[in-house]
Amino acid sequence: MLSFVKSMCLQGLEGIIINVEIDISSGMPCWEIVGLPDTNIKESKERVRTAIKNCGIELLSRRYIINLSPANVRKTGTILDLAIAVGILTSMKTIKCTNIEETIFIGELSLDGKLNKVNGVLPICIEAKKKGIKRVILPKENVGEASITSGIEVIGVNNLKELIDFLNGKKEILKEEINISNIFEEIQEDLLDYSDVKGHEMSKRALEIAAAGGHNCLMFGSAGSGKTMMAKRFPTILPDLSFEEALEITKIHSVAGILKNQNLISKRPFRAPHHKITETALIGGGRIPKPGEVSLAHLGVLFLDELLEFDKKTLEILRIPMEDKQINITRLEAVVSYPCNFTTIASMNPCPCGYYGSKIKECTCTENQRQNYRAKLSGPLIDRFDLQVQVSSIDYSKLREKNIENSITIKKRVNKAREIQSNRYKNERIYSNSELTAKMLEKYCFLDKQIFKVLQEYLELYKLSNRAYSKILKVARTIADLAGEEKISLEHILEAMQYRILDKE
Amino acid sequence: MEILKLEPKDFPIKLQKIKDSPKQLYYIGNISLLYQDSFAIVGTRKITDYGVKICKAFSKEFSLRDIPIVSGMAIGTDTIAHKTAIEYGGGTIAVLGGGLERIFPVQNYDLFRRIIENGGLVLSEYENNVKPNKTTFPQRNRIVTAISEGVLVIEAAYRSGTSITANHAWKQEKKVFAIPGKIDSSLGIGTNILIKQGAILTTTISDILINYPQFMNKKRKSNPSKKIKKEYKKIYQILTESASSIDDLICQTDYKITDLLKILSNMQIENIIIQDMGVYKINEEFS
Repeated sequence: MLSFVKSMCLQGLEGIIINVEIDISSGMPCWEIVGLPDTNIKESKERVRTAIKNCGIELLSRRYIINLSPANVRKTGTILDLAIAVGILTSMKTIKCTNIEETIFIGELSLDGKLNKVNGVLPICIEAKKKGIKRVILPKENVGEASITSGIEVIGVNNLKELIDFLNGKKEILKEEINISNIFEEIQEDLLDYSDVKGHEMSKRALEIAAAGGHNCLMFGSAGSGKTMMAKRFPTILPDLSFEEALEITKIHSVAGILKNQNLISKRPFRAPHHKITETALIGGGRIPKPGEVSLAHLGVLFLDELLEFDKKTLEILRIPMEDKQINITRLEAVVSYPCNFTTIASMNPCPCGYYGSKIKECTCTENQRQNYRAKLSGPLIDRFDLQVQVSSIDYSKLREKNIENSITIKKRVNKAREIQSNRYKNERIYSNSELTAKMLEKYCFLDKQIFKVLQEYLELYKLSNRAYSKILKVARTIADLAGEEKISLEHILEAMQYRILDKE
Repeated sequence: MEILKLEPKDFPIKLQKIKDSPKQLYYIGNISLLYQDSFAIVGTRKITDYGVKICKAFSKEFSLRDIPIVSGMAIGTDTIAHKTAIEYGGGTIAVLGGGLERIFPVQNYDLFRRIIENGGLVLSEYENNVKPNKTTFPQRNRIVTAISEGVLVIEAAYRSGTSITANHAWKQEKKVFAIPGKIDSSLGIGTNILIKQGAILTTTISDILINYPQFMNKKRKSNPSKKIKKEYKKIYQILTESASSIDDLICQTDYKITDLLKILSNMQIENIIIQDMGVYKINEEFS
């Protein structure tokens, strides 16, 4: 008899409904899976067969033909095991339920019939809902993650036997509800705090602006001046996540299979790849493209310590994702696109010896050496850092006792500034000032004639590029938001100018 | 940019009378500079910060007195001498070690253009497409000294191209001036040896000028200077003592960070200070 069961595969973050069609007929006994299955799907016939057998159901020697449609899309992963098993059992009339039109089945089978956890459940549920699916049946362990999607019924099962009973109406499975607000309210105590950092007010201010407007920030300064220390504390002042943002992040982490025991990621990600990272690991890839560090840092921070130690090629590859906020990966078997709207925080030394501009130790490099060192960082890449700050070693004896702010105080200001932004950009589909496009700049960063003239003068004096101009505007916009002011005034522009100290002639 | 040729009969006398006078000169730019009394500034390509400062200071003084600066358009000292001359509106002559269609090093092509655009002169004794090599560079040094009244050496390594230039100058009976270097610095050795050999120890511009009556008569153009606004005074004072970063400035003042940034931007726009990789300095043009 013929039966149809639905499941779903992911291509990037896009879901494709897979119709699993099963036919059992008499003839020479065989198992055939057709419809462009990958090796791990072809292997599923052994898992399915043994799992059914171990549930105490006898499989007869028949022709089992399994078709996965659409047949022109390559399917991969063990996620289809459950749908195939359900299809066979329906064909055998072991499962008598006919009401599975609007249900998708996902899950991997163990030989004893137990259902194993799979990756990418959250994006599958979201996509399923979009495509009009009413119910998802999946492994119990994935229920938490799946329940975050509202408007779709999520049923978690432990093993195949339980599922058969459920579908035949012999057993009830309670729907799980999770309280999302609980996740957000969990008190997150950080061991790190900005009050640990003495002095460095310039860099702290720059990082505050970076957090508030999602701007990229490059810190350069002599060895041991505290760049890494400050960057590590950056997550403590990042604005709170909205539910939509949390969902976007969780989707990507779910696909990458690094969700661990969290159901929903409630903190902005902070990714700090080592400088020996390969290009593929950074931007994503592989035969079946997986998200890379830039996508895992989506809506969070990508911290590049010792920027100039990275391979030049690796760095240049960052240029497009930094600008486009999205990465397209093309491989033989699929073209996928992952979002990567991240804030880059980078640190570097000013010269090979590491002491240029330091008052504590004299720099021994020649002008030429310094130039060569800096030449490793291309102009276009420097341009992409909205904020560039110099960090110098502090002579603590000279440091005056000023009140040191802690992270919570800074975070309050940052949150307020973000709120202003998200209200302003409600209809623009962007989250922060750093994402403003040229057209939006005209609309939201209007400058008075007088202020424009001052900026023009400065740009000519230091021969800054057009991109630098728009970056100054964006940063000034964030400074104004931090001050709670609607219009960009001269003082905001004057401050913003000081954050562009590397892209000079 | 047209390349022109100068025959020996049209050479200035100072160039005609040297032993191995060139057979011809190719040039681009303002040839009248060649007939003026000029001065050569030479030194190492691997110039230090200290060297840059000294080279700029001396080049500026020559330029403000309208004395053309002669150099070799190499990277390092030569580049800074030419650039400073352009900046202060003085003439400058670049003598190349290769043909005029073979600008070397390539990164100085921009400088080459700027020299010509600003009324300077670029010349060479070589055919237009001759590639420079290790013999042509020392060769052109004799022209550098021949067309100059004297040579100032900023920094030099032991037995470097600069010492060859000094020897040319002595052979042509020209005076050599040298800035004393640190005795433990590899780039101080060259000038110190020159001083031992008879170069004139130079610490101020007048050490050079008193040797040349024709230069003593020249009037120094004044340097436009402005009054410092009250709100800039504190920062100005700190920066005159030493170049500083923002972190240093905030340690020494009571400004709030946002106010300090505003003042710095204003001072930059008014050209009172300049900023390089996060280090703020007084604009020497201003002082």
